[in-house]
Amino acid sequence: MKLRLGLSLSLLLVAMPLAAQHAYISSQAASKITVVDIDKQDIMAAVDVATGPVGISLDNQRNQLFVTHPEMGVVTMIDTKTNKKLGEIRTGGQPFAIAVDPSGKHQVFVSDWERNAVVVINPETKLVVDILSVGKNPAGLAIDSKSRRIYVANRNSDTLTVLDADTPRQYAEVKTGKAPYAVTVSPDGKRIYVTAIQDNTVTVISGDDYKVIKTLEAGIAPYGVAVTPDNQWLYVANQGTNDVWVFDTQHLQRVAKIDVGEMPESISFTDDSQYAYVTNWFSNTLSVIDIKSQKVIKQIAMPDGPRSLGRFIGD
Amino acid sequence: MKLWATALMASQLFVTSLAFAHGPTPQKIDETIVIDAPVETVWKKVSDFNGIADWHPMVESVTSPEEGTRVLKLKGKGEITDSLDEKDDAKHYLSYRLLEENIEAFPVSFYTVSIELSKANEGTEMSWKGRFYRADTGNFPPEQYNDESAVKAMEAFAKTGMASLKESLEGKK
Repeated sequence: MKLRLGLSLSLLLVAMPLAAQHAYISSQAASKITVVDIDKQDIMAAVDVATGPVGISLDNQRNQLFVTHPEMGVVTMIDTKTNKKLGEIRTGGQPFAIAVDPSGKHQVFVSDWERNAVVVINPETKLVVDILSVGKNPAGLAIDSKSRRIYVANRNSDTLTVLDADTPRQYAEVKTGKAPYAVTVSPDGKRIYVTAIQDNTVTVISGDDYKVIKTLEAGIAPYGVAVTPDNQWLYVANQGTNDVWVFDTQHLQRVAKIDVGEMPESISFTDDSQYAYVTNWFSNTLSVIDIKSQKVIKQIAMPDGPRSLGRFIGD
Repeated sequence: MKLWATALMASQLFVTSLAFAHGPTPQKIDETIVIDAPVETVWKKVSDFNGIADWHPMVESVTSPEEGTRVLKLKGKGEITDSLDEKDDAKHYLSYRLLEENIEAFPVSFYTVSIELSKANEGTEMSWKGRFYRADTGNFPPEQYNDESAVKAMEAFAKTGMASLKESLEGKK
């Protein structure tokens, strides 16, 4: 029995492509990006960036990382092979959440808190190519590559704007809870989840007709929201209750509450749906959750003010 | 269509963001004090959400328009309104948020605060933590509404309150 287990494990290792994964953590107060090796569950590098980094997005095809700096009106580009800065893109306004187009089309979408807009960047020319009007103070933003849709949470309009990823077209503006913050799309594109900080809810919206399917009760002040790559679990980080709530996506029922650090902010998963990483803004840590046992297995110390709004784990 | 959007954007560029109740750059405070009094004695004071004027010298008076909401009249200044999020008697934990700002009275556009008590030898360790945003959340705030002023105000309010509570509780022994 033991022998067979060992054999199958080694076969598995040979069969699986070992793409090394990393978590990229923006520390807003320390103005640093910390790179965490997912295999070792430990820090491997740190990159100094401009003041106040917040939003994160990865271009896995081109090995590039994009980081927003709301205070500076710029986006930093980093080469993830060398962890060296490639340059800065001037957006103006207050660039907040960011999402690379995963289709390979060379465009990056950024919510602009101050100008009530989504700014579209061409990273090749480092220029703003379009500015699309959305609701008041857009915060979280997500892209569904297959359906070519952009979802934007308008913090002070209590709505979600649905935009086209290729043409300046708006499909819908959907009512959410009070003060929507983060937004994520399920891996199959069928559902959009939006956290609302002020009424402690998660709005579940259909990706087909943009109708509200259900409103889930969250802990106090839910911020980050994410779905496991296997589409089984929905994770919500609650700043007021210092925990993560886990919902089963099939029944939309809560199945666990996991205590993490203080004032958790953002959640991302490893590709194999085995681990969740959570940034804890107040206590300056990164919690590693084992998804199977629903327990925190490690806390990694981070520079001051870890946030990493967006999907922060990639190659 | 695109021209419209651009014109709209241009007009918004010059709108001051003072009116926005929130911004993308939070700040934090983390203050602690040890009070030579039992946890339950300190908790009796702290957990009385509308009773803060009894122990905080910067608060002149409190009114409560409805349960879980308190309006603080700050000494020599205007009013700000807080809303209670959680009160846990077993954990000795209290959290609340700013419901209505008044940046002239208190230069912060939004905050959440949590206060927690724990046993420290025979006394109590009191922790006061806050997450907050400066009064002017635009990128070019005037000095009185910048991050530094917000941190100073939050720190002063927490420290003054805790020091005064310590003095009154220890003095009564």
